[in-house]
Amino acid sequence: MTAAISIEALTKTYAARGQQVRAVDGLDLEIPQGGIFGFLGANGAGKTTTIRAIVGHMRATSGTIRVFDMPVPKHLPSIIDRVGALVEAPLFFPNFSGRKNLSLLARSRGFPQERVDSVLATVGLTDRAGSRFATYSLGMKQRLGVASVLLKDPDLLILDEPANGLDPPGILEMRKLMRDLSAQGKTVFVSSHILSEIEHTCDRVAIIARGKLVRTGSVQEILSTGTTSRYTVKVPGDSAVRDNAARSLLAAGWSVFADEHGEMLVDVAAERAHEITAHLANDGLWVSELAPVARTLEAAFLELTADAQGGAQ
Amino acid sequence: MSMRLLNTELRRYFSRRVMVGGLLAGLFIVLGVNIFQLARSSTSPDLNDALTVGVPQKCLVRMSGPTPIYSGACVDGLANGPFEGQVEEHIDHGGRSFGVGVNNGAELKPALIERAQDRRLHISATFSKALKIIGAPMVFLSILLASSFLAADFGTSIGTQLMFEPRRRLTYLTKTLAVMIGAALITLALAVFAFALQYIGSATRGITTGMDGHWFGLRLADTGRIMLAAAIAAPLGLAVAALTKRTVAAVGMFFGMYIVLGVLGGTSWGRPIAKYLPINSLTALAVNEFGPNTNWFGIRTMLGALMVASIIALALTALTSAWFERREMR
Repeated sequence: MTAAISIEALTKTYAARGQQVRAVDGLDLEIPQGGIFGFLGANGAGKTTTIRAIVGHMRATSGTIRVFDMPVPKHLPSIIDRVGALVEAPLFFPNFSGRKNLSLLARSRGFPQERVDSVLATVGLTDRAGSRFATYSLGMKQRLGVASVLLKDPDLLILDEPANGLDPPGILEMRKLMRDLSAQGKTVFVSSHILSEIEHTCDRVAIIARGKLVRTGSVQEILSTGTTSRYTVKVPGDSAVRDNAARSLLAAGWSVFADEHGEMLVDVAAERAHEITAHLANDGLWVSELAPVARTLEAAFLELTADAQGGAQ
Repeated sequence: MSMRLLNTELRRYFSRRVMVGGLLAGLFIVLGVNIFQLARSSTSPDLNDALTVGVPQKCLVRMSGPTPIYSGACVDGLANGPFEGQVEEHIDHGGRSFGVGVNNGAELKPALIERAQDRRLHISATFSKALKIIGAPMVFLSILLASSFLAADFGTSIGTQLMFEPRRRLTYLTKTLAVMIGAALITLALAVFAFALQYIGSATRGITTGMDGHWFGLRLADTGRIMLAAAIAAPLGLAVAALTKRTVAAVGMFFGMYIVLGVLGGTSWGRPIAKYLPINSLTALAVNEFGPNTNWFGIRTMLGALMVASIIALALTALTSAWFERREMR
């Protein structure tokens, strides 16, 4: 099966304040068909520039992009009905109602007008569909943007920061919507810098930093990336015993922290975790619990992008 | 070109709030012209002050106290008749001056000259004047409505629209066609409105004779000419707004062009340039004034005006559509 999106050596530079800025730097990326693919990066990492290049809003300086195996932007017109995209802030005529905006878009492609009401219901905007877009809250604008994406019933949905402006129930609805769409066999390509959102939603992710791909793989693969893991270490006794244990580990060169509950945390490679118990036993301290702390995507992301971010600074 | 896309753009063009304001402005202008003509609609005679000498008694109509009232037609008919000697003075009566002679040093006496005036609203004569008056404002209304069409897009929905129709040149050209059709239809609607007002005014306070097939043909041609001027003006407004992303830039530019026209037209070196300013030929087309003795520099024929305006509109549209195709949407 061909990839939904295939990007090879994508580079995009532009002039800003007299300087050449390389927003995307030789990016290679393949998004398979089906599932939810997360596109992670800090602000300014090149996510939106990449998406703009995919949907033809920007021209790549070099490199190639193929969507459903068709080079874009050249062949975008032939596959545009299969692609729906919400790029950054949703943009509509401010003085038209939400329904009018969607109705005009539907008309331009010959979609039935019933489809407009259907997608408005899907995003929960039926009640305010007759109101002017300018009067919408940020979350409602975002919903209308998603509705415009759904209008085409596309095979590939590209959502740039779709949770922007949504309240917690809205975020949950968005998460459910993406899963439903994925369950229908559609490909959802979602960019975000809210890592917990991606972690809870996506099947696969790609992490970019400073316009370059840092890592791509399933969420589990990304979470298991890295050389060290964090363990909770408990010793029986009062706080004085715990302090002794911490001092002993620190003196031996371990990285020791305390979590928000005062529990002792130690960073150590998984294959050396047993050495913690041996070390403390030598000091006459007995470990009652040695448990790995569940690693978050945030931790993995920060570790993976540390070099790039450092370079940036 | 896709009719579906054109249909969508026309709906988008006519659905805007600025359209309500634009139409109201157009209706107000038409209404103003008609109210003015209606207010003047009368058959009462005009009396004008004059100083006379040696006017024969046959021209006396009546006395107004000590002042004689002479028939204007009679006095006009005298022309060089009863006056002898050197003409000393000219007195203007309703735009026409006639000589009042000093007859053997006789004293000038005040008098009133009465002229029969028939200013009744007469649709067969006044509708063409009404169309002429609303022609130039229609050109500007067209520029305003076209320039606000795409300039508004750039700040708002153009990115979303391109996700539904990514063929940018086609999108731009369809928008161009939409603003041309839109401007022509609005002009037609306002011309019909003007006709309706003129007819009602003529029927109630004037004359409705003379509206034969030939007359209708001529007025249809007048209306078509103004529609054409408005339609050609629209892509100019659209292109300037697209390039500058500002409605006000397009409207200001074409208003400013009138000033430039006046400045350039006053110089020998500037007149050839003034000839090719689009507003020059568009206004000549809208007000139906061609030839060397008009205010429109160098535009001698309707075909000439049409060619100058059309070539500029075509060139600017081609340039802007090419730019629009390559422009990056950020």
